Amino acid sequence: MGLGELLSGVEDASLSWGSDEESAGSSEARIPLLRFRVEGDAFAVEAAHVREIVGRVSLTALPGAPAHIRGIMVLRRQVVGVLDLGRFLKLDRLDATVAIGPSAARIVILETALFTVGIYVDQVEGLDSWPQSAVQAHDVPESISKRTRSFARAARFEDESLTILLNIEKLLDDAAVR
Amino acid sequence: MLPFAEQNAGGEANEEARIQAEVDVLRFRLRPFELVVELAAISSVLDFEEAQGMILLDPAPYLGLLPSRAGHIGLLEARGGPPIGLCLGEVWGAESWSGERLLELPSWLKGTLPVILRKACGYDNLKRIVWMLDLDRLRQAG
Repeated sequence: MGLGELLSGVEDASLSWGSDEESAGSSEARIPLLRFRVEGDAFAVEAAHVREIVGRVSLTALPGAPAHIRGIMVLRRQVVGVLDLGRFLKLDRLDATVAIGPSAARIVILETALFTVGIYVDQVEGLDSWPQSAVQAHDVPESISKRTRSFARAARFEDESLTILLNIEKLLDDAAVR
Repeated sequence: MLPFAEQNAGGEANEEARIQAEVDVLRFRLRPFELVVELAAISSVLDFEEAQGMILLDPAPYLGLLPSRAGHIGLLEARGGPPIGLCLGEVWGAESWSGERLLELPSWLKGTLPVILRKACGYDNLKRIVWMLDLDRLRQAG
């Protein structure tokens, strides 16, 4: 299989940049996002912050670390800390092995100006893009928990499901233990 | 003290020297955590029963673990005074470590590490993280 065929396979799968119909007829700038699920809730981060997504890796517990730090791993000679977003946001815990299956779990490596951090997610749903106005509106419903809202940049209903766009700089800054 | 740990690189020559420098360490497992201590600090390894009556330094409580009640004890090189033992859990053996095996911890995590560990870590061929015990800090804390 050539690289082109490999890429077309990826493009056909869920990791595609929205549909053509979605982007056609709208001149508004769109912001690319990565969507994922943690404890059944849907979240998104700006794709610009996503360095890579890794599958099964062995995590080492960090002695003395708070519960929201799931562990650390070595990725190409770099130590990366992995955040348990479910614990950090105090989400109700689902039995992920029943709800999704453990093989769907991934670690999303995020980069900001200050931090490189992995986020443990139950399932990566794919790439998406939201209109800039939806991101700037900061329209976050009050039905979600106060803690999650404090790290939300925006929220959007799609297919009767709410996706929360995380303010990743604020989240990582608050999760850091200095 | 591990001579290459926590060193701030001062130019390429220093960095090269740091990577090539080697130190002998004793690797041990204290329940979930794998650690090393500088081999030169340990004069011999005893069973727990053989260390009865000895002053023991135990890293376990500083790692969030219950105090050691079994396992190996490293007899520390004498600095004068009574003999002091170091609780080692299960000793895996001696290894020679080069600076290449040392990795810097992300700055956002350094604050979480117990004071008895150096703010860096090593890793083995299986990419398992190995922590480095700071014996001086453990002595001070104990």
